[in-house]
Amino acid sequence: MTDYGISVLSLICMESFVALSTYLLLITGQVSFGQQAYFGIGAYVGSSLTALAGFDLTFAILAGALVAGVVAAGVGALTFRLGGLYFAIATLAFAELIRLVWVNINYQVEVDGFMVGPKGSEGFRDIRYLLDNDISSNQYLWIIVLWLALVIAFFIVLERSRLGLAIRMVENDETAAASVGISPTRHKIMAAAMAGAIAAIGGVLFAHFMTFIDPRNFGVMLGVHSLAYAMIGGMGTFIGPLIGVGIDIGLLESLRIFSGYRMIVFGSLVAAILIFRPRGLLDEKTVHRISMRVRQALGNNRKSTRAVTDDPG
Amino acid sequence: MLDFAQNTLDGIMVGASYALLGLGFTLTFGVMRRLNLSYGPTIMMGVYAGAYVSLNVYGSLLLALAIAVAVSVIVGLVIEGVCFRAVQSDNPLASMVSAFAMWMVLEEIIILLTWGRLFPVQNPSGLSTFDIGPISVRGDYFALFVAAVVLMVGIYWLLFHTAFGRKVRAVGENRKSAQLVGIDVNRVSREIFVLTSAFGGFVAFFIAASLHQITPGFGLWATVKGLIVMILGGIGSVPGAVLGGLLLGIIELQAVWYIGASYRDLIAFALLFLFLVVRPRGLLGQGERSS
Amino acid sequence: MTRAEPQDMLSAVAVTKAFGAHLALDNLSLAVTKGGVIGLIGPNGSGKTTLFNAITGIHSPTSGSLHFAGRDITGRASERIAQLGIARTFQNLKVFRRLTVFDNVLGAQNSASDMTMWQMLFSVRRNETPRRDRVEHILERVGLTDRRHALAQDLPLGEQRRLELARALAREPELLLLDEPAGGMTPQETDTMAELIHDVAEAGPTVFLIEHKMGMVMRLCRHIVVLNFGRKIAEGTPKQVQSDAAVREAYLGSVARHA
Repeated sequence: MTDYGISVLSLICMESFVALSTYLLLITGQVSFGQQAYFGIGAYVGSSLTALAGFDLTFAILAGALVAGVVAAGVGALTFRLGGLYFAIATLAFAELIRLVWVNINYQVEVDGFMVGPKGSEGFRDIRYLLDNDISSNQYLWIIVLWLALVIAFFIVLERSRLGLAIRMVENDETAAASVGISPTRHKIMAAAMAGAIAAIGGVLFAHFMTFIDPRNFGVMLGVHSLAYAMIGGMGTFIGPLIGVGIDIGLLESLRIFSGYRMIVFGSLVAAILIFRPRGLLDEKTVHRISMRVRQALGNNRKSTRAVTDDPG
Repeated sequence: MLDFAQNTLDGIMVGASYALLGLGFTLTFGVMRRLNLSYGPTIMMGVYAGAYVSLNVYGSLLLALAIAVAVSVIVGLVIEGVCFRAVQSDNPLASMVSAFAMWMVLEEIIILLTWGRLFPVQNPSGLSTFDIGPISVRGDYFALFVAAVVLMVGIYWLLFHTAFGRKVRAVGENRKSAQLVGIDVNRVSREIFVLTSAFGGFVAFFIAASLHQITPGFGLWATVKGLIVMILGGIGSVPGAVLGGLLLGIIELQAVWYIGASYRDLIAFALLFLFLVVRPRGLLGQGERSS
Repeated sequence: MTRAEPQDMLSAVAVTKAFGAHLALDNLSLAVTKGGVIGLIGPNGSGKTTLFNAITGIHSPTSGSLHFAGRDITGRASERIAQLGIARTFQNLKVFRRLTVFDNVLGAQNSASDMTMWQMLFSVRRNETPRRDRVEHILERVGLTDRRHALAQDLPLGEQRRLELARALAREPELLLLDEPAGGMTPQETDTMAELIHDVAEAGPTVFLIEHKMGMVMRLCRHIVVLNFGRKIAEGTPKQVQSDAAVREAYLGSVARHA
């Protein structure tokens, strides 16, 4: 594979983490403009652990996810009781707050004769983990894919589990969910924590892929994009946001037909989707229809085999 | 003490323009029950258009202002059509996301047209700094302040002394009952977009003029300031927006003086976040509506 | 002032709920004893749904207290009250619109609230046979078996009302609050619903029923409470209530006005 192909694929995978993170909140009924905050927390915490303290990448990813999850749960606990509109504004405010923290943070230590660490708006340079450990960009792509697969596995389990059902109940109607004993607040906080952790995994991977990060990587546009991915792809299944990422980076960016106009095309696409298909391409109805088809096909198969074996009795 | 007084005065003058941005948000929200996140980019388009004309066609402040207002209104109406009227979801957040998407589009259009460079906005007042006792008053701040006060008085009169204002307030109270008593809610929505875009474009031009320039980041800046002011004052509260604007202006300028310029936005966001958590109703917001 | 009596299943003691200056419930006291169907009637806006909302924790009362099975439930969170054994339906239909009929009922089942989040995450739906059987059983009772894979939003109103009942039954509640379960239904559908409610009450939970259809109320209820302007104006057996002067005044007066 060409270097360009590898880097586009890596980018698609890393954006997928933020997109899935935003999606998880959306299927709980919450709009977040600020998942880039947790992507950033992951990036800064993770890079500090490997570049400054010499920890292993896996440990850095887990620790970044944990920190982001705890922070996200805290932000959620403070703001969820206010309702969706306030939560959306709060996520925006919090993300900008965190970005300005990166702008103002200055902490460097000497590692092998170099000064390494976050340096305000100049960013955090020399995250040399991949170089130091001789990990090629090809190998690193596989590491990214592996983590994405883990997260996707989580979504597969989630969407089949009672927790996933409870989350969707909260999204459909909070009052009704509470009336059958499901705590909307607890489930929203839980979803926020998991969403924060997922974004952070992407952030740690992103930082090590780039080898340097700066506060501008974690601006509001990243949040808007991840929201757009989920809204374009649809809210019926986790595949939706992945399709959204594919459309934006896979088609618009890599085909370069729209280079220069990419944002205009993409923004208009989002506006159009919201008018004509408010819950995205793969919305609940479509997913339901597909799953009915599959069920029917499987059912017919089963029936015919049963008919054969049951006939004598 | 003198520093403090000087900062406070500057803060009030800057804050008056923030107050108008907050009013733009709070009035739109009052009528639509939806946040128009692309308010900032909308009025940014106006400023660019006005500045372009005064720079390249004819250098007149009045003409530039008229162009800025007209273009803001046109863009505002487009946003109203695309993000609000056409988005028929019962979820208010759908319009919010749509407005955010249009924000990207507007910002990108500006970047394409100006190659993302700074764009000069002539400082129209030509006023120099003058002194009142030991306190000095910046001429352009003063012009900004006067313009903002005039606009606020005008908006107050429109809202509380005209038939249009009665309709706006009726729709804000309860959209459904307003419709029942024969108010054309769609028309009021359009009119509120015209109004907020018009005074937004006007004040934005003065803000940009006091900075002598405008960048594509102005949209984000204006949206964020307006949002913060609205939350500080209390969503839907007109006097709250004015108070919130002044408060934000004063706090920002004190922070710049006593803590440092790089903390200006950090303080503003921290203030917003703090209010959301501790006092989401804002300074003058009403409590929850009973359903 | 009445006290909460220990043998009552549900009691309200001097409950007031104010919305601004408007008193939706005005110093209301009442008790619901165990068993059968108890009716709650009154003209529109008399506070019936507000009382249900207060009982189920959607609006906490401005003053006064509510007790369920000997416990004070005043101002508790909705989900806590639901977990204690109160289930309800909603007048303005609140089915989980984008979920299937089956999932609507499955998600409501009692044990969900007793599990930790992690248990819930790893309890994969399809392996839970006893649970599925119970859902199928409930769907059969309310006559929605054929619709089990439909999305709730695609059901006609009558079926959505039955789905709400099914969802509430999945809670296996001790007390079941039904808010106009036959609202907007045809006479035939109403009869079916009335029978269903009768059977439900026979089988277990005490039913507290808001309904405007008087024939149905009189047939089903052993005891009826009448509200007007947030106050209790009468209670007793259907016969007693029907012959009560205050009730006739409140009801016929308002009916006359509406007509």
